[in-house]
Amino acid sequence: MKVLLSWINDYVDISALDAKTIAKGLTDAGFEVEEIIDKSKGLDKVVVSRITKIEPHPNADKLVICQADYGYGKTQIVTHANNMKEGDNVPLALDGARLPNGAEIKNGNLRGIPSNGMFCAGEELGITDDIYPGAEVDGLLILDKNLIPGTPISKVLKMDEVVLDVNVLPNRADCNSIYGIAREISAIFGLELKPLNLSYTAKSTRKIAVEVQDFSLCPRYEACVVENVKNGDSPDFIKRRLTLLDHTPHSLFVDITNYVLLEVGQPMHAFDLSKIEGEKIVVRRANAGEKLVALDNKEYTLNENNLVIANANKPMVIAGIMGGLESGTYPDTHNVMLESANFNFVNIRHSSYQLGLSSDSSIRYAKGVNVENTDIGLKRALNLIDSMGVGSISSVIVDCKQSLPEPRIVESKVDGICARLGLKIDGNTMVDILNRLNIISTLKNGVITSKIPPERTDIERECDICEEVGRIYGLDKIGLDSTEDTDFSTVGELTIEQKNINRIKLAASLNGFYEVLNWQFGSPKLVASAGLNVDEHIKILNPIGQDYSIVRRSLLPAMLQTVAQNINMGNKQLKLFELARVFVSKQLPITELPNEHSNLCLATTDAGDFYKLKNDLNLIMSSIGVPLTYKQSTDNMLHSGICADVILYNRKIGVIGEVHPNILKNFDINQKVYVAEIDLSNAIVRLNDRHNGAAPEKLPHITRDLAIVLDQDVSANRIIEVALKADKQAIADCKVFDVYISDTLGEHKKSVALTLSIRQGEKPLAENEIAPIIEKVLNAEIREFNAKLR
Amino acid sequence: MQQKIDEILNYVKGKMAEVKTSADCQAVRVEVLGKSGKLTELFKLMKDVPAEQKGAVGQLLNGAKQAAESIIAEKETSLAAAELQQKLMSEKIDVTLDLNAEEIGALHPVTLDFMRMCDILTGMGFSQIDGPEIELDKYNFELVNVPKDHPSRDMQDSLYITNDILLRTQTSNTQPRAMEKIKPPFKVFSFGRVFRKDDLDATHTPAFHQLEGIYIDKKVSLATLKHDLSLILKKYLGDATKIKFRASYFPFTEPSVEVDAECNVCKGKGCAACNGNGQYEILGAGMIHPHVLELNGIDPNEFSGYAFGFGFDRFPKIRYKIPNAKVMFSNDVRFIKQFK
Repeated sequence: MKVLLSWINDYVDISALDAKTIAKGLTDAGFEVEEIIDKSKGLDKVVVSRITKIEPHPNADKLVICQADYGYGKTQIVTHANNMKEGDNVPLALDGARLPNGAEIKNGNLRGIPSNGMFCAGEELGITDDIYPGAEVDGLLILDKNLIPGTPISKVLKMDEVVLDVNVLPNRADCNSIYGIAREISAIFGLELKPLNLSYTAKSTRKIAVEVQDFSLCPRYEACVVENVKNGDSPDFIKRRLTLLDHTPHSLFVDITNYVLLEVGQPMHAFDLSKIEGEKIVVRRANAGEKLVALDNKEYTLNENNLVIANANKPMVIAGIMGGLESGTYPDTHNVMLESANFNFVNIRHSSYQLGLSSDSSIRYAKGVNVENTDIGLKRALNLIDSMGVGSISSVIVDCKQSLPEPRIVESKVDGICARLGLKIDGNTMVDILNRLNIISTLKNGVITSKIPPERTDIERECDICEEVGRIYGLDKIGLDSTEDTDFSTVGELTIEQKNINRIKLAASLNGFYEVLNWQFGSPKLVASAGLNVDEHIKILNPIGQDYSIVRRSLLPAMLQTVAQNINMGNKQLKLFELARVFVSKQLPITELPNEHSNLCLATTDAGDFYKLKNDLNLIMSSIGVPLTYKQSTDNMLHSGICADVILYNRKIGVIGEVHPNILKNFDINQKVYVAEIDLSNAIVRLNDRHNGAAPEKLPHITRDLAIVLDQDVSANRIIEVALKADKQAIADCKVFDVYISDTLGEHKKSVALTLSIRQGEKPLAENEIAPIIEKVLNAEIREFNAKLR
Repeated sequence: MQQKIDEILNYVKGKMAEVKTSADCQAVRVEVLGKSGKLTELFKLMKDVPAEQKGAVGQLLNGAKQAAESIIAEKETSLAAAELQQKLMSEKIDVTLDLNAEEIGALHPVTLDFMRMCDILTGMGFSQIDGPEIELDKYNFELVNVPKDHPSRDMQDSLYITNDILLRTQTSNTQPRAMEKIKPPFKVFSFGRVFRKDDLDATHTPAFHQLEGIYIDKKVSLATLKHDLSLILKKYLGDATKIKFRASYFPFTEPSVEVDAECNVCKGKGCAACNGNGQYEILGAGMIHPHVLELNGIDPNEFSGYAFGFGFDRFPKIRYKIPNAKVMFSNDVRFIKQFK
């Protein structure tokens, strides 16, 4: 919301305040000023100069040499302009000026003749005819003859104006207007607020019929006829104010409605009465398929959710959004009907979005306009028309409405407000603040009774009154030492899951992995390149773009993309991890919330091999005391021979392996990549804090090696399992320390060398006690796998 | 006898001056003290010594034996030390060489900073709560006082999966979920990703991290909020951090405040780091709207509470001087390596 301070000054005398102070006051009270725009910026070294002499340039036909008086002395300017004559006043930009269009002015030479500055055109000063007549001519801006040379141009153009860009928050739609902000400023600084001038003299009694068919979409419709209008250019003050607030002036009646929109926040519309067939306004839902060509020259097809303002025969305006081609006023318009209406803001918002059409009015309506504002807007417009004498106003205001809401009364306790704010404020101070905000309040027995004005739709209960008091009193007055003692104390903790997740992340980083973060959504193409089924993914109804249209159920596709991107950047030795959520649903499209798993994904390039990655995964997961086992497996994404299921408590929780060459090709990766991805859901639900502190065994374990020959297909974990089971009491541990494959062992055979750790118990074991244990292991392996001692 | 002994001892001494290895020492030992060594031979003469002299001669011989042994042993010790030293020197390595080097990894700066924040919040008695990232409309909006048709619910702003299920737009979905489970008083925080339908550019990412804290108790006020936030932000941003409240609006709090921190660079005077404002916006906060408490079954006449929440990504960005979000989420290892 752009706020012109000189306009504010119509209603609050702010002459004693500078713009910065006003901006700070507004900001602290909840109206953040995002920018203080000084309209004279760039004009500070531009003055009125009078041309005393014009001579031809000796070296250039298109240039002339001018002598000028600029108030502080005489100077010489070379220019290529030719619309001036001796004695004219023109703007002169002096050495060092930086004009609004960005041009920097320096003394210099033009074709060998010194030129001390530059005469300016209106465009170079950033103005239009609406600011100063003649500003848009091709050539210099010729100023009033009576001006005294040396006068600052900002004074002449009346550009010593300041505009505040105020961020009006959605609960304060009433402040999307000059008058609304003026009221805030008056409350903040304790200054008097002058009332709006709404008076006018009616000279006719002409009226128009209005029928509102659906009050839920149009709670109120007011109309008034103005006859014998003079619809031409607007007076300077209107054009100037509209221009300064970035609105282009059109013609008087359009400008008046825009002026009122800016001043009191009421969108209005001016119709040419002669175009309202049947002299009847019908506010109704559009018929399905009904068409209207709007002022933007585009045809819109409407439906029954769109509200239209129609005459007796056809729609003229998409209500609150945009007029049709025949809905406006024209130079020859003789009689005008002014509309000041209230439309359902939700409906306006939806229609505007659905039609892809918006206007100043629709934007304003969508923010919410209160139903009593129509009267203020209409009367303010009529007052302007009356005071300018540009039409004869009817005494009949047609006002179609259902009953207006009763004024709300809110009671608040002074103590309650103090307790909520943590501030000690006197009840009378509170009442004073509220009254300044037009919330008429009285205090009795510690209770404030407030009558809520219609524009304050945001105030419903004590906490809202509390906010009003707090923000005007100054929330920053709350001290750091004024906390009441609360008797609650607690130990802050992370969730078990989060503790485990943090440990896993630390363990991964300490084991050499770098953490990457990818987004929860991705592209179907990416997911397909990683060999996953796109159809199993949850889709977003209204994605930001195709690249973010499905929700991930695996971290791997984005991880492979990250790997590829890093390799392209020369980072070929990679150890990456990501720990984040994936989303899996039992049925698609989803009808209930999907399962959210935290997954851990690891990826390494030729920094390691399968065993290295597997070891890393084991190390990382042992940081939270979780034992993983592995089982040879297959997976679309992985190398047929180098792929395993990762198993926790007999359940598959993920996969690990070398990425399949075909998948690598999809990602343009030319080196081996090893990946693992596991679902942490069941792994992180318990804290690894149940340790056993038993005394170590008295005697050391005895180690014995045993080499056996068996089928190549027998996996190491099964061999070990059998060894451990062979004598649970005696065998403390069993590790494979060598695997040897050779034809001499027999077809499809391998030799596996085991190291057995044997417990001694209370007494040292003699060799003849050890041998039977080894024998048991060997026999078990023979039984199970048809192994042979090597 | 004495003369023979002296000759032998002198011989040993002479030999010891010449020998180069411990093996040479051993050879001398055998030559003198071995079964038929020179000194051993003298012991054999004992049988011819008259009985009354046996004691004295025996002593003499034993003394000589010990002397010879000690001379040899001394030489052996020094030779062994030299030999060991030589052997060790032959094993000398280039200690400046890095063999089998393994690198340590690193956490993402967002994770790093979140862990810092976790320590601060848990230290202040806040416990973590968690909520789903894909959420029901009810928890994301309705129960935090954002009814249907509120402007912030427009399709333009949120990413929907069905009419009723969306990617959460704020971590506030954890508020009603917490109130559903825990009875006040309680102090909790949540952290995670949130999603908005923003246009993407150097500063906007399709998702960002948010952190949110709430405290519900009997006498919680804006002053409690300011006190707690001040402590949290001092710990997090530096002891000199000063915060300031100004009025704002959020549907779930009333009154609502925007919290500004004085610029640490210029101490409030205004500089390039704070765009000349002397301060910068840190977070939004306020007193939990009584209607939010009511919607979640808490009596606002008995309890009040505060809530604060902020976009988290900018803090690691400021702390580590990361130029923009694009760099921060580039996943380029060369970037992440800086956070070891």
